[in-house]
Amino acid sequence: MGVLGPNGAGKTTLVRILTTELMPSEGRAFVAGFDVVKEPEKVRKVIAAVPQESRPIDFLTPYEFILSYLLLRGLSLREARRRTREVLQVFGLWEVRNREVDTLSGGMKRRVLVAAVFAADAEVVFLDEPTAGLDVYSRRVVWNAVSELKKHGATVVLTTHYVEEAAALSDVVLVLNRGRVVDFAPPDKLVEKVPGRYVVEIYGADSRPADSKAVVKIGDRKLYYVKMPPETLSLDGVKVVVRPKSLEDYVLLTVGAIEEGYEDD
Amino acid sequence: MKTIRDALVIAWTTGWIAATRGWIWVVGSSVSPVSFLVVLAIYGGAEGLRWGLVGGFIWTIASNGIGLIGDAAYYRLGIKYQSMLTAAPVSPVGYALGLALSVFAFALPALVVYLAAALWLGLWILTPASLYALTALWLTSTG
Repeated sequence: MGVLGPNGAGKTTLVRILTTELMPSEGRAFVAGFDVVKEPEKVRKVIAAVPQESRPIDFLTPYEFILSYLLLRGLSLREARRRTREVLQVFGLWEVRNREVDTLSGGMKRRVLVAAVFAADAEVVFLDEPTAGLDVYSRRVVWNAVSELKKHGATVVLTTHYVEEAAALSDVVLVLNRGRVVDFAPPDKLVEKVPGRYVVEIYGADSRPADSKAVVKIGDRKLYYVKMPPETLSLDGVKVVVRPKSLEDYVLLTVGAIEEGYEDD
Repeated sequence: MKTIRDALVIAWTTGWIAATRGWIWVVGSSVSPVSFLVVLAIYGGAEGLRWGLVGGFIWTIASNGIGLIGDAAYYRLGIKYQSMLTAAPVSPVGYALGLALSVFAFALPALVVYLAAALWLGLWILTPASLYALTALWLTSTG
């Protein structure tokens, strides 16, 4: 499940409540059938989490960090060692297993965290913006890890700012804004709600395509939603991008800045 | 049992490994009490040294305990390690006790030096009452 929303939407608060770190101010929440307030110890046995902006302990090696995490989860030393070795190989960390985390790249540090929760074999895994600040290669390595978690039968709750990440990895997407649920549906169903088929993105000019259905205005940038890409759009010196609509456009239309003249049909 | 195990794992990672890998910090945290020991030995002779040893014991335990605040804040706010463990079947008491033990790992070399010096001077400070007081000091300073 991908959780999308702008800064301050409540994504991390939701994760902190579901991982029993934060008490909800009202309402009830269940994880794997357990009440997060009344049965926190049962919840903790079936979940694992990589919190937002978390890092492995820097003076440990990846091997020590993952091994200690598994021991803390209650695994026997033999089983923890076996899983640690296995997961280091799966995540391409075997070569650096004895190097201090402090000397690893940002992408590798993040991989160590994801590898630890992967080895825990939890039913529900929370990943709070696990790819923030990573390069395109490292992001995809984390994506592979998420896919592996799914393959192993885990439910993965992934919060992210990267809409394409949510679209690529999620079976369902939860869109939040200001602490409220805006929508909850598979990514393709959300994209269907965006009018037209293409997006014409123009910066710094007032011209608009003829058949545009809706427009998003972000400063001097305007996004027009059209059925067909315009054949001619003469705008000297103005950058124009024409692309198929995507989940990003759904987010922009629902939670982003919507111009007053927005015509939703 | 799980609580004890959690405490030992935390102490191993955040205390033992940290102390053996960053031994310069262990030396650094031991230098201040030892420096006063030298001053007391110069001005107070053997008697001053005895008082200095008792003071060094107290200072080492208390200062390391107070230093734990920084470690705990780093694990909670700096790298969100505490949040990661909150979402795992880790005993909160085990976590806190483990951090307290980790501080002890840093203080241990200095305490061993003091104990050896005390025995050499014929100062038997490890009486039940003093052990109780030092343990209470360790627990209260680590908080």
